[in-house]
Amino acid sequence: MNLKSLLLRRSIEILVVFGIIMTGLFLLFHAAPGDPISMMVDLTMTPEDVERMVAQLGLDQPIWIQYLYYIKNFFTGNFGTSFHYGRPVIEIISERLPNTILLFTTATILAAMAGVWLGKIIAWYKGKAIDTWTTIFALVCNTLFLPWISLLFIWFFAYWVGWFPLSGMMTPEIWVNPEAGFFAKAVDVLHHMLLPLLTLFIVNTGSYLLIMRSSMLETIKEDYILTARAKGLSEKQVRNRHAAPNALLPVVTSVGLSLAFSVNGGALTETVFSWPGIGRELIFAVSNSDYPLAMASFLFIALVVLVANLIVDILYAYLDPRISY
Amino acid sequence: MKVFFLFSDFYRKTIAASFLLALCFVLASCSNGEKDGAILRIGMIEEPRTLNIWLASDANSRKVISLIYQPLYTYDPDTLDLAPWLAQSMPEYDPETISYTVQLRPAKWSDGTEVTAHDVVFTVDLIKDFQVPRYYSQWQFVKKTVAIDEKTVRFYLAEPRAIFLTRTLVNYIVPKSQWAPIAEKAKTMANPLIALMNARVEKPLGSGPYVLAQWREGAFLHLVKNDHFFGSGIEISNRKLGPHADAILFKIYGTADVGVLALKKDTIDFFWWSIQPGYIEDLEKDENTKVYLSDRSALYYMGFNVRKPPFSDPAFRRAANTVIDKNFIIERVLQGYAARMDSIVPSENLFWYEEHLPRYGQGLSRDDRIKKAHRLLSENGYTWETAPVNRSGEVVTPSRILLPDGRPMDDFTILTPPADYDPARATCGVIIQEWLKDLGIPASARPMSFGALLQRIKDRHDFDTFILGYGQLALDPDYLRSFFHSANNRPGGWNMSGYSNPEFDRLADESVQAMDPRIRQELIRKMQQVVMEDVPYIPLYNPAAIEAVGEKRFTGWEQMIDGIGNIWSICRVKSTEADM
Amino acid sequence: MPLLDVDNLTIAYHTRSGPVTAVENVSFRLERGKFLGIVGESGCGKTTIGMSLLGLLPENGFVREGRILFEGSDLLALSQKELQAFRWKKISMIFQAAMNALNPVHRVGDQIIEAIRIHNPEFSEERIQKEIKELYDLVDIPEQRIFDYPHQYSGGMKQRAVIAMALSCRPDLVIADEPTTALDVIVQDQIIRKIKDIQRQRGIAGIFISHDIGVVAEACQDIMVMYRGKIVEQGKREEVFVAPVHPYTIALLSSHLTIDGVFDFHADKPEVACDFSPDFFAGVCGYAESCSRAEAQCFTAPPKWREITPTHKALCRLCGQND
Repeated sequence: MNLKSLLLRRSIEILVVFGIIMTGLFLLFHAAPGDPISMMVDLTMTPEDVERMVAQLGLDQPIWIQYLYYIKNFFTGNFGTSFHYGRPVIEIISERLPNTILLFTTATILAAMAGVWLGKIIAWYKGKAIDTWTTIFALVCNTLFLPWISLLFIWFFAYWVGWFPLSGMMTPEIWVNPEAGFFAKAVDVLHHMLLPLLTLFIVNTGSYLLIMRSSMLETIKEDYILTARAKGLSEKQVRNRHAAPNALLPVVTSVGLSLAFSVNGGALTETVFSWPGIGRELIFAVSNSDYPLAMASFLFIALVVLVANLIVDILYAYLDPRISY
Repeated sequence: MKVFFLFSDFYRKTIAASFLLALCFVLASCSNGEKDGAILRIGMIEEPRTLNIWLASDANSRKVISLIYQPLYTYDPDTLDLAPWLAQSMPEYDPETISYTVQLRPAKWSDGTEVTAHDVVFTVDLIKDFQVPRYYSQWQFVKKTVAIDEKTVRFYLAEPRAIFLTRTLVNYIVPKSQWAPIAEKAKTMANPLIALMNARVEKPLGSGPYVLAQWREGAFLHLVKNDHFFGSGIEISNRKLGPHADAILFKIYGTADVGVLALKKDTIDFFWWSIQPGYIEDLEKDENTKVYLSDRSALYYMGFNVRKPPFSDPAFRRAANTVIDKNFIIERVLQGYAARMDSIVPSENLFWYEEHLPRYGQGLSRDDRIKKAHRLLSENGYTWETAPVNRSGEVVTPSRILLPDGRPMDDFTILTPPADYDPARATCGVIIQEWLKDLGIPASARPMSFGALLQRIKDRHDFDTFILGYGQLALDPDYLRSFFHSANNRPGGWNMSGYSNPEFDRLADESVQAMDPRIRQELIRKMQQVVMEDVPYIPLYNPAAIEAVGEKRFTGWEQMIDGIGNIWSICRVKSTEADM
Repeated sequence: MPLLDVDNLTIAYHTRSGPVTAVENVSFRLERGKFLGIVGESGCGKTTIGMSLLGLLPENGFVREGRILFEGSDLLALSQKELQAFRWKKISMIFQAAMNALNPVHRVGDQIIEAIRIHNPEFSEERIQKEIKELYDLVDIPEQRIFDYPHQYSGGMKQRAVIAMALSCRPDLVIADEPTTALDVIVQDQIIRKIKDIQRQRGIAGIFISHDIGVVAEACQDIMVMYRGKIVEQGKREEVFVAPVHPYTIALLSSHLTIDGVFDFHADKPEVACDFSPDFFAGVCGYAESCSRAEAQCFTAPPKWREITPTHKALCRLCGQND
């Protein structure tokens, strides 16, 4: 099978899976207890108020009619209006998503590069002290409770040492200053980004390091590594040309998917760093039954993951000549 | 294959670039230390969701809105009586026509136009036309609103309503000039109410001390002083108003931990959020920060489903109330930062609070509480194979309690919110479960997600007992009627217990129309007596509001019920640097 | 001067329970252009010898004793860097599991070119292209297949490619470690013929390691039989196969029946065991327990080298007694 038919087949698959996810999401949200209106514990909200709101939002309609509206809305590119923001969902997502991508996707990319690079080198020193300590360090990083380490970092680096701002994405004092130029603002955002980036980087690098290291250790046992050594290649050449490319193959899937999942951010990290990303919105939307916002966010993430899966598959075929479609 | 050779080079470059960037920021951070002394910086735990006044339901949105839109009357911080705000004086009541006449102060909207009686009329009509949730029920009994002249407005009531003063008139007034076009457009839509609530108001036009300059979604809100604020320089309730800060910056700190650090680091002057008692010690040690402990108008309670046995038996509920040690809950669960509640109305609400109420277990030791509850239950036909108190008067572990008809009591649950939502209530559930076991009452606490919990209790009435709370009760005690009037015992209604008592209903109905505060006070106090005799709700505690400020740059916070985050503080805080 | 002179080589592995000897007191010489066959069952240490010649013992392996002289210079004394330059250029290897000896993500041609380039940095691109075409021609793989990936090759092609790779730097000595094991008989035969052809054409010396006597017999002039880390019999092909002395050699040969009808041999077929008995290294004959002819002295005293002819000797107390 060639690439074209692969793409066609997988696209159809993606559409089917997406349709299932769409329906599943809808059913899940409508089966969950509590509607968005009665969730408000507000004594000034009378039962009549609730009824009126429910009717105006169309939540009193039979479920299949709501479903049809949902499908129709989706295909007209209208994801509805958030109950709590009173704004089009698409607007909220497109406002928050870039922030998440800026932080989480960058962190994932950097962590993957560093983790793969370190894992590649560390595997070569298997059994040596440096390997033992790095592995222990990576394991520790990997099991760290993210909000806890985030708070610790904020306390130490931002509060105690004072290198970074405490949290948030920008210094309001700079942004409200009409004299502040683009450069000052850009530097301000990057400055705010550094600490959460560092935190995510440290926590994530560990896992990529471990994956790459174990993959390398598997690869090193292969006969072609012996061949490469026998040919007179230096250790570095053996590692970089023969071990790493093969060891990288299983890591690609992992990295690809975590890149995809990075778009949903992390509710806890975003909360601790007051980072206005999509993760917090997602949690808020789910816990407050803000269906339109929650469903649109989930659909978006599902789409990204599905497409990322396809890209990983294609990339895999490109990296591993044994695989052809 | 070539990709891999490229990689290693790419790595090196990326890492080098990262180091350079890091260096840049460290350098940059050293240079931006300059601050404007006249900006009041307030920390919030979450960003406001909307500044559309009709949609806003979350606390943070309401905080910002309260600085922009203003009501005709507000509460005096000392007496909690009504104080004229946008109004010039107290309203004049005419019993003949059941009408109130309100004279407006000389006041302007932030665009410089006059606040007129037409704006008031418009606001009331808009609420009634659209039946705006949360507002409509407070205005629906107003038959007609008339602008007598530019600055005089008269409200004709369909029937006397006591809450008109204390509830209705403290609502915000919106400008006709900004909202009339929005309302007109909304009326043409399929769902006018939704259209109104979802209308985008980029720059809300208000009459408050501050006006929105910029809202950077996800980062901060920038409010600047409203030069047309009616209160500037005048005295209301013996307080000379400012505001003194040129601007307010609302910053978002997702957790209280970071908010507290921000206070200590002097990045904010006030964290507008009630923090946990655990922070107090640390903040008090810091010489730049100050902690304010304030009473709150809140109610945390345990409720029974009195629609079904055994909860329908008042004797059973009284026994449960007796065995619960509220002081223990306050000391152990809330670390002492709460007030005990013996009525549905918080004792801090002096005017309405009734002191003479049954005391149940108050002041008794654990054994005495068990003995008293045992006596109460025995007298009402409950029996045990092994009673909680034996013949020689010692407290022992009882067998399961038997109902007056001789059958053993079924297991039942105490529904609570989950611990991650409110650890205090979840813990109370478990503690109360153990106390009830001392009487052989088979209760078990069960935390449940908030949505499911509310649906079962409020909508489906499918529950035994529950622990819930209201963090911010209005000062006017009309909520007593909402909680316990039999008319509100319906799916979705606020009488979640299903309490029904003709005596209470009569008192409540009377209180609605009692226009004389003295008479109404009497009725409200009687209602509390009736309710506490029957205890469909066992009031537990009223937590303190714990707030902290940085004292370095601003002073003069006004403490009142619910804390220092109020319009008075915002109008009164002064920059310490301005004096120099 | 012989091309390769291995003297009293002893190799051991570190294990959890202390060092374990894998090759003990092995000595042999190899002249230029000659082929030496090492026969023995798997685990007897033949591959370890091959690896030690390239300095490629596993991390836990080490040379405990002895010397390896290649063209008179001591291989064991080379630095890592010198060793890297030496490998492939002087001694190359045709690997045991040819299926996995090629890296699956690189094109076969690139993998061969890589070796040429490392050892001949002065070669121009044209020269390299010419070299690889010649190599492919030599091993009978069509030119257009040069830059295919390994998985696109058949088993026999892969093995021939591996041979081409082994020859790419024109080494003096090629070690072929079980070069035909995974292949079917017909292909096996082709490969062996190819190796013989190349040996003739290029005058390369070789060490042929195999458990398959047939394969070794076909290609080699000299034979070494190994049992449990020791050489038990060595000599010219004709000597060892026609007149085997050591009972193990006899057993090995008899289990193989007839070899191409050239050497005809009949004997009993004893069981051949391969576990290391603890007293083996104490000096007693390791084969004694499995040996059908063992006598009491075999269990008490170490075996002795017996010279049957100047080129043929065996490590056995009994040798010579059976004829």
